[in-house]
Amino acid sequence: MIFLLLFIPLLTFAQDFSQKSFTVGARSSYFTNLEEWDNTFLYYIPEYADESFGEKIGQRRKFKLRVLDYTNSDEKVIVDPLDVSLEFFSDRNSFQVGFLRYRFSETFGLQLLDVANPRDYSEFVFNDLSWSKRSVFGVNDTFKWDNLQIQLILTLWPNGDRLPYQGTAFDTTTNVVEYEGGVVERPWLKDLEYGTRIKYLFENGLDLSFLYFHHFSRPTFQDVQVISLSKVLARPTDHMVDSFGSSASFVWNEWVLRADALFTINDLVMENLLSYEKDDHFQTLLGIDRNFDTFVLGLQSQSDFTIERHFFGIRAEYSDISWWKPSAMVFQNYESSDQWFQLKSLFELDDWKLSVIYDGIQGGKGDKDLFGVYRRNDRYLVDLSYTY
Amino acid sequence: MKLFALIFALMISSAALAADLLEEVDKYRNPSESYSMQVRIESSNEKEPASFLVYLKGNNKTLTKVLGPKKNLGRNMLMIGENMWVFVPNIRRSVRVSLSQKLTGEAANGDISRMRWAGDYSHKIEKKDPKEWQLLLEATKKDLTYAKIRAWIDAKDKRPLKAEFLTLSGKVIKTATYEDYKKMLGMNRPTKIHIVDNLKKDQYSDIFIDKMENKSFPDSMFTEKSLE
Repeated sequence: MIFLLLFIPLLTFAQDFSQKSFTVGARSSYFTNLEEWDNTFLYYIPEYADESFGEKIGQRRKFKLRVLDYTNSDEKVIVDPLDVSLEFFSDRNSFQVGFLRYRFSETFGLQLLDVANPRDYSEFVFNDLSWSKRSVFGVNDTFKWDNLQIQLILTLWPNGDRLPYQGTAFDTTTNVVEYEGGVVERPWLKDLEYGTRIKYLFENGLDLSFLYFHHFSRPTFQDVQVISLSKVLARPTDHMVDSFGSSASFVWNEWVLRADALFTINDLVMENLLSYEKDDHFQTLLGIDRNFDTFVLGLQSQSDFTIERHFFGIRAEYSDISWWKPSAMVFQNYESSDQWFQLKSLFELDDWKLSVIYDGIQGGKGDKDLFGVYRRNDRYLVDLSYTY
Repeated sequence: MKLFALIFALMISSAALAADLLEEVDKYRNPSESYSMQVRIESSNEKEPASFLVYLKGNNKTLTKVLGPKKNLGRNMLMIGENMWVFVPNIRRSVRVSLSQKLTGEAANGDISRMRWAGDYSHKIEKKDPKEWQLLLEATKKDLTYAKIRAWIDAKDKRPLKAEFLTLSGKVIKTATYEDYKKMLGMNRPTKIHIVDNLKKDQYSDIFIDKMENKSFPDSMFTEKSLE
């Protein structure tokens, strides 16, 4: 209801720009080893945005919801306010309030620095960020002085991660665990998250930022308690942590160099999908990208120095055909067989969009194997949508 | 001493005139310090035209919103100085790109984001005839869309007629002609820029300026947040 209040029309200025659309779609995954379809749902995305400017002040309103209706599990309909916000901006300051998805990181892949928003882990990390990043309700104020930006964030409702629903393809618990999965409930105004980011764009093109954020440790794990010989109780963790991070990007000729680093004090660090330990957590990411005439190439190295898990990734997208965008990506652990291989074909014809994605997953059962637990979850994801 | 002062004054005034010439050429494409324009680009190799709403403030701040086609909605662009970001909706991320990167068809990002030559290029007059002047512009900054431009301007009113975009070595990459001068915001302005690829002469893009409006924008609008 609160997002409707945010959207009361403000008739201050005539609109300079407005956009509206409605998307309806269906998504499902075929798991080749299990030989079955799972995680099947319909989705609806109404979207409206407008902006207007006066002499000294401008305003922007956004309304974007996503409704997920699952057909192969009894998970309730999820109404996700992706971006329902009101923003005012003057020469030096922009103030935004509402359901927001903040952006901290400059890199592709598994964005380390995006700690301020929960994620949808119902398909582990195999969905792209536009799909998996969930919103929070908060206030976002950015002060701008030439090339310097200082951002202050206060999150009043941190929202929760969405975990695999019990019995669905990416649920790793067994029947003896009392566990429902789905969206982790977080109360309003109880555990506030807050932080700041300072960003400076140097004359030579180096874009450098530093951040501090007080937040829930993410991803959410499960605390497991043995109730009886035949029953185990799993409850989501609610551990608050402090993170310090830095991000940089630099354009060198046609190449774009990127780097992220994140240090989290006393974080919950994944040992495997059902266990964790508390430790200081240090992660880095280095990447380089280039846009060629007909394709985009990205190389990336990602390291978790606490677990000693190091990945190398390569991604290429062919971009010369307007209605077909094929891409391929490999994410490989340096020291083990842990691997995620993705082939993606995106077809766009008028208002129709069809994505066919193949995720090939390999890995062992060791603590350093991130993907190993899902090695039987090779899948074809099919997503068909229509926007009008 | 008087001679020295005279020479010095002449040098100063010729430098000022040189800067004034590019500013005079620029005023045909830029109605004021801060304005918005609606742009449509039709390309030989694209089925649908691409359309944009462009907010420009000075020579170093531009926010470009994609209005169509639908598949490109959200791929908004921000330029600050010689730095450019494009928002990629499916990864929800703004990505650094270069000004010379292809926007659509034969048009580069910088062709609609950076409409001024004064301040970015020094120039010398290569040829003067009664009808038109030929100028050679050389970039004074790194990472601009083009390293050199050979421009032809009307000798009388200094409006741009044609430009060849060159590499540092002087090879012609593209040729642009400034056409369909129409009255817009108080003076005749080119409403069509026809860009041809010099290597593939059958490939072209037409940039149409459909609407222009003088407008002031708050500075804090020109941040990556505005791309989303």
